Amino acid sequence: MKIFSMIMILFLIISSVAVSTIKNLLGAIIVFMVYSLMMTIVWQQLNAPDLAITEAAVGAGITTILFVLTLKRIKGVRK
Amino acid sequence: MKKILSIGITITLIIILLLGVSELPKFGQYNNPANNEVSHYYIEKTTKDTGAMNIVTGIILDYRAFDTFVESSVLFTASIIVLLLLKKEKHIQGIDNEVTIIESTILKQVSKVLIPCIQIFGIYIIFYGHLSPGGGFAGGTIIGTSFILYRIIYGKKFTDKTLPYSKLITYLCGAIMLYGVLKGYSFITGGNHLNLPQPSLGTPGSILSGGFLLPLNILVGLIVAITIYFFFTLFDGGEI
Amino acid sequence: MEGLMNNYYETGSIILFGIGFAILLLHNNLIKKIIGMNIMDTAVFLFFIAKGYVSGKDAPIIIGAHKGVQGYINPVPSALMLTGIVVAVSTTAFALALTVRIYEGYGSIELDEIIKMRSD
Repeated sequence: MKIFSMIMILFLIISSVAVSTIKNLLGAIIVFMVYSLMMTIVWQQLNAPDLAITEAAVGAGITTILFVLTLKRIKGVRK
Repeated sequence: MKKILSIGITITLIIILLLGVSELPKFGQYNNPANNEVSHYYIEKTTKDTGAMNIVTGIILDYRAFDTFVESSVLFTASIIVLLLLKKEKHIQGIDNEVTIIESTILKQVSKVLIPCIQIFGIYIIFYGHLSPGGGFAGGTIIGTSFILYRIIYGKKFTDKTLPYSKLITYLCGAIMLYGVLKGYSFITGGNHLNLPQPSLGTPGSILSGGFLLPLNILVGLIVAITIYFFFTLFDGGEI
Repeated sequence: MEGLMNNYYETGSIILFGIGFAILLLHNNLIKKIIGMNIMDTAVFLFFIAKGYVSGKDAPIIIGAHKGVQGYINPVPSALMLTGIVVAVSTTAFALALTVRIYEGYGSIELDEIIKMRSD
């Protein structure tokens, strides 16, 4: 379980660096949604089930919808 | 020049913070300074004082209930701000608003089965908030997502008859005021030991237990669901 | 070095905080700045929850008989950070509404173009 948690934190760091280097805005938002989902698994590893359910519903659901709707309003997909 | 300066500031910040982390006590020990007598009191006495089996729900809705009240008012303020910034006038003839329109028979037939299932799951998470993980926030988000799905599939005209704007604003303001009245009544009468009527604690383990926990969970879920629905409709075309 | 490898959760959370801060400073695009702010938020939550973990004990939900004080993890940090997640989504929604209005007023969302337009 210790190795699994270390691999999860390493994936988190790699995906947050990837958010910075991707130039396509829609791709960056989808990588951010993957970051939120991996954070949900880390919450479960730390024995906090309330936080896991709330982060899965809010972080990977509502925040992504709001970002995609903003992209539609500002009419831009590429940087 | 600006890039090198910002990366330099970031690396300095990380090094200073990591120097502090290297002197923290070991991760996961039982006798850390963070596990003091406050957490021991909460673990032992929650079921006796509040009647909840989920210790986290007992803390945020009974011992520290005004925390949750102010956080609900933060959500309420955010939805009012987005209303002020993005709401447009009534529909003017000839101007094309950018509302999402989907005409599809498959989506309409599938949603007749799917949307009630999503709502029942959300209502289950709210009602069992004090017996299993979940609570008002997660259940309210799930119900709000089912409203968003309904609006995407059936369009603006049809949804305005079922979920009109004036009724939703009345429910939102009424829910947050009722939360303040209920919890204020409970604190004032319980703190001064006046023997005024209060909901009973019941047997721990059944749904109708815990005094004020079940109504407060339902109110918080209602506030979150309406706020999430308002966020979607205002970002997607600016009309409710 | 030994302390950093034993507390790997706290070390990872500090590195994530630094990466989010760098994203906030480096990029000109307003959407990338808002994503960086969100990454900083979740890094602070991770640091706080890692302080409340006790190895080998259960989640703070009582099933059946009560196991006593020695059977559960610390419930206080989890209860405090539950409010924080909701406040983070409220801040993100407010920032995105401001971005939409800035685009309608100036026509672009790159920060140096907006500053150039304002100083004319």
